[in-house]
Amino acid sequence: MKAIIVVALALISSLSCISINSELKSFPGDNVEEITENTVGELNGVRVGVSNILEDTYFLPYNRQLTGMTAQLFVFTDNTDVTVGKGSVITINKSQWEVVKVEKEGNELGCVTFQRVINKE
Amino acid sequence: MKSNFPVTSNGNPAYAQKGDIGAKGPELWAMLIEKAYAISEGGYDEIEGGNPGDAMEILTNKESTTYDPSDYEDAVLLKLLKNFLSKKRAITASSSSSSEKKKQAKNAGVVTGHAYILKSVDLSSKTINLHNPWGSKHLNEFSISKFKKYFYRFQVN
Repeated sequence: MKAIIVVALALISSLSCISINSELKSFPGDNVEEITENTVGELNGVRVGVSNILEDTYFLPYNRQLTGMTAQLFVFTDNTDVTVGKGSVITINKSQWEVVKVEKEGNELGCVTFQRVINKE
Repeated sequence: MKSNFPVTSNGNPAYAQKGDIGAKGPELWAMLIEKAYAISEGGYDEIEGGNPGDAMEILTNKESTTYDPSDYEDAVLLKLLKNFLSKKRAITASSSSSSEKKKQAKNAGVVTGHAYILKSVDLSSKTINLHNPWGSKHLNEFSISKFKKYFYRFQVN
């Protein structure tokens, strides 16, 4: 039974580009990127558009549902939208980026801060 | 104006992107115009956001007229837009950023608080094609009723 659950969780994780992993570790410094709402930035050389920052629910793996500030990301290489919030991790061009902050003040354009994460040795 | 452009950490253009690639290399006119405008306004940060009608006035040297889509019946609006396009007028459209409609607009694929360009009108299907200046995430076959719901103005030059 335990093996079935592990396999099921692995399958769910592999189907989503958002994943969270307790073995991941963030490294502050150079590997921080900010993208302003309604603009296109780059993560690991891949163009990513940020839009629609609003209070909403978002999902982390293992069916964890959270409510908070979310942003819609448009990953140009995948031609897909994904909704993220603080704690989401996206894999882009074999590089993982954690959403560390989603900010918005009133009607001003918001901002999403990403930090590159690498596997803990 | 120097022949260089701001780039990202990966060496790609930071703002407007290269265009179609021909025998002599990529088209750079959009990047050049953007840079000239940024210099005239005091920097790239100074030209972020704003009114797309104003930008079109600068590009076309023609005065911009603003319309509210909700002022028109669907069929009338479609014909009006089609008529402007047939006269080669430049048409920009501004999506609403109102908080009460934002989640619905997001689900409809709209980037809220953003400017689009009208590309075409289909009278029979009552849809329009809106071009996103990102170069992707366009609104194709977008119904005129959704346009009236999620866009608060269009501007014609």
